[in-house]
Amino acid sequence: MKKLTIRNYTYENALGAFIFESVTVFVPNECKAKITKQSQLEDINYGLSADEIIRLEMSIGLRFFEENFRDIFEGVRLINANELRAIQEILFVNRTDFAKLLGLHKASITNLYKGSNMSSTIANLIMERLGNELSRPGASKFMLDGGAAMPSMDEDATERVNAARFRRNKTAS
Amino acid sequence: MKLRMARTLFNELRKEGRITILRHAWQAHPNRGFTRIELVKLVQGSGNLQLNLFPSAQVGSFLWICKDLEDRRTEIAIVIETEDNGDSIVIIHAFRKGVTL
Repeated sequence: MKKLTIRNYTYENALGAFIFESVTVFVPNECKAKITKQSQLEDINYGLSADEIIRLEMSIGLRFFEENFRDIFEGVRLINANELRAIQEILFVNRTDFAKLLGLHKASITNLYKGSNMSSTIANLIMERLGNELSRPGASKFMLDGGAAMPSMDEDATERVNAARFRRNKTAS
Repeated sequence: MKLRMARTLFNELRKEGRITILRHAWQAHPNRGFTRIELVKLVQGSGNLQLNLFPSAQVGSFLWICKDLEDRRTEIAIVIETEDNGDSIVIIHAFRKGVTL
């Protein structure tokens, strides 16, 4: 497969859409056309590498955290089922382990997905777990299983997560 | 490629993160509810690599059989591509029954 760089690539998941300045994609060798834009990829069975997918997902997760931490902390908004699923995928834990991380029963997680059990406190806990995972990828698994070594810290992500946590609301002060 | 060799190579490549996901795997069947990051993590997780014996299967492809986060049987069709800049696992197709969400 041929490696190409696409400018202004829009990557979308349940946490939102984000335009990335440059994304590496793989197109079949038979593809002769000169591709520089995402719109030209519409009819092509192109590929994305695992590293690139993780980079893009983590960036979207971080942006979601930055944009919504304050509102969730202050109870202005909650987390919906689609966002919850996307967060569970970033943590990559099943519902039983997700329940353990939040200190809930597995059945309560099912209720969270139905939207009947979501409260500001639980939404805050979920954001805390997301923040931990973004600043230290693998932290959730480590919290559940333990392990020989603590996962290493992503310094840039930690800085952004902490900035979002301690940023004052515009209306406050 | 023989299954034994494919298993060895598959394990080495997924440890190094040399995985590429084709658009068909995450976009062709939205009812299966696969996301890109989920496919990456499923291939990096535990499972069993088998020969792909489906009559319509791509020649030289293998099936990675694993369980998803909701304990459903998931079958991911992969090809091991050998190129000048190194080998890589290419996910070409993914299947699981029904989505409960």
